[in-house]
Amino acid sequence: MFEADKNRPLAASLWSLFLLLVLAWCGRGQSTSLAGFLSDVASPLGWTPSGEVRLFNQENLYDLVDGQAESFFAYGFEQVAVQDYENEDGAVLGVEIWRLDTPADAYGLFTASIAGAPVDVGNDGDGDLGRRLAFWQDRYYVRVRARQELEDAELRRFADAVSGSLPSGGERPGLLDQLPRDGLVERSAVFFHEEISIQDRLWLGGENLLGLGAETDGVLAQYDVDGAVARLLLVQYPDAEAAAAGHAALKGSQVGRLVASEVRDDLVGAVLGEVDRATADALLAQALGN
Amino acid sequence: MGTGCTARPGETSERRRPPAPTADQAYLSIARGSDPAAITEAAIAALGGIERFVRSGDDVIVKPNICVDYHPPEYAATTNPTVVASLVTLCLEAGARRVRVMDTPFGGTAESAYAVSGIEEAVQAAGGEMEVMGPVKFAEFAIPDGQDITAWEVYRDVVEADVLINVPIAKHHSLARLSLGGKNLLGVIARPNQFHRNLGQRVADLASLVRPTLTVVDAVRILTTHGPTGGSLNDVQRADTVIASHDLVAADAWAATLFGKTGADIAYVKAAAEMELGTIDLDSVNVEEISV
Repeated sequence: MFEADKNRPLAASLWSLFLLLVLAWCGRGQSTSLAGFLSDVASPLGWTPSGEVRLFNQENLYDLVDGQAESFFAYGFEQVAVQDYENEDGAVLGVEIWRLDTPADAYGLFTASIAGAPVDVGNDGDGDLGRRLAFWQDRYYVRVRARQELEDAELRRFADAVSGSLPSGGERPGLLDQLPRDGLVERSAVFFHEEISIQDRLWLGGENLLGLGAETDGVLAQYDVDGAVARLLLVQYPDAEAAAAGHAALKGSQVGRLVASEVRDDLVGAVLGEVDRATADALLAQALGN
Repeated sequence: MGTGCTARPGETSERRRPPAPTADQAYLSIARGSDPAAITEAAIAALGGIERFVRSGDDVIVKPNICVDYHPPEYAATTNPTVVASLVTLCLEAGARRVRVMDTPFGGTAESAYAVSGIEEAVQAAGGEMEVMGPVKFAEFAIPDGQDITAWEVYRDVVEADVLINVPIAKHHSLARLSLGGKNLLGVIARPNQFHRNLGQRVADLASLVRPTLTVVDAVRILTTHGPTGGSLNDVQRADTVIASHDLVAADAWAATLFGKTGADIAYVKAAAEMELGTIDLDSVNVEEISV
């Protein structure tokens, strides 16, 4: 009895340590809530929050982007925090922090959303002068949007502050390394899992011809081959059998401007566009042989 | 929400169908020019004037797309306010008893979306009223011709108004490919996100109930990608065009061509044509193109 009493503080400490480890494991990567990332960024820059932070998850994302929610679900969407800010001049600025499943998802969403010029913020940034900045970092995708045109530096300071509050890091998907460099149009590569992410650029019929899903990784990139436009599609399947099925479906389809396609192990490649067969074969050989 | 019993559309949707165009009236009109008011008026004039659609004393509802409160009109997520206001003016000049303008935004409140879109200010200046679509006025309506849905909660006044003018903005839509007149009707129902499964057929089913008297597609600016909300001016193109017809399907089919597509490429347009709600065969109708 005496021995047991003596050991009780040690047992309690060990138990507490175990609980802390469990909590740390469960909360890995989420130690700061999405709203927390926004808590200290605005006031040093002269902006005041307008209303509360709004949080949207998979159940209510439609309340923020009805008709577009599926585009975010396709990148492992978990949650988004939305906050508006005002400054003393009455300008309004909106910030969204999207948390996706993985850094590759954040990167993919970023590539599918590129609309402006490159900006050096986060891991990669994209923006319209004085109007909009977007970037990805770790497993987060961030949009900062001004309702009225602002000084670009003002928008940039805000984006830098949000970037500073987020975890750093995040690797680009390895599949990108398969893309041949020669002729690759800058910032044209879109990383994706599902058809909806690329259907603007490549219409595959809207009925999941290739059997794409959360388990597939894909990249669609544009090439300039002596002035002709080609698109290289690469899809990595979970296994060779799935890849063979995807390739067979593509070959038997009516997808427009398909010049050549090939399957190698778990990877399917296809070239579409205005190039001739020899050029397409060469591009595929580089992509699948890399 | 008033869903205690299922109402039937009654004779309203039949009554508010406009007379077929006469030989000197266009079936479908396309007006181009840099002045949104002028091309709206020209497009309606080519159809025979607003009097073909609006009679003295009519209760008119104008349904633009006011989907979010975070983009002003130059982002082409919401209908051009001048196009909407021009229609309000035309209806009042034709003797409409009142003209109400409404939508159910999903991004933000109706009040803030109405203000940010510029539509509220323009409509009020034209003498129209902005109406917030409160939940009490939604009621379940039978959709007798529906192939996938046979009943849904719809804003009662939209079904029962003398005249419904559907005024979508032509824009990219990540799920539907394009948001045009048919898709714009989702703004008058409850639980629109539940339409996303089998969206094409469901939109067509809804259109069979909510028959707009007139569809006026705003393509002054078009959102070419990242829709329906957009967010970059680089995704916006100036098309300086307004398309109008009593035939929702024909108006949508023509608007699709602005994006290099046809009506058959858009599932809800194709489904609506198959239900004989209109035609996607634009060669079979009298199309009048006007430059202003």
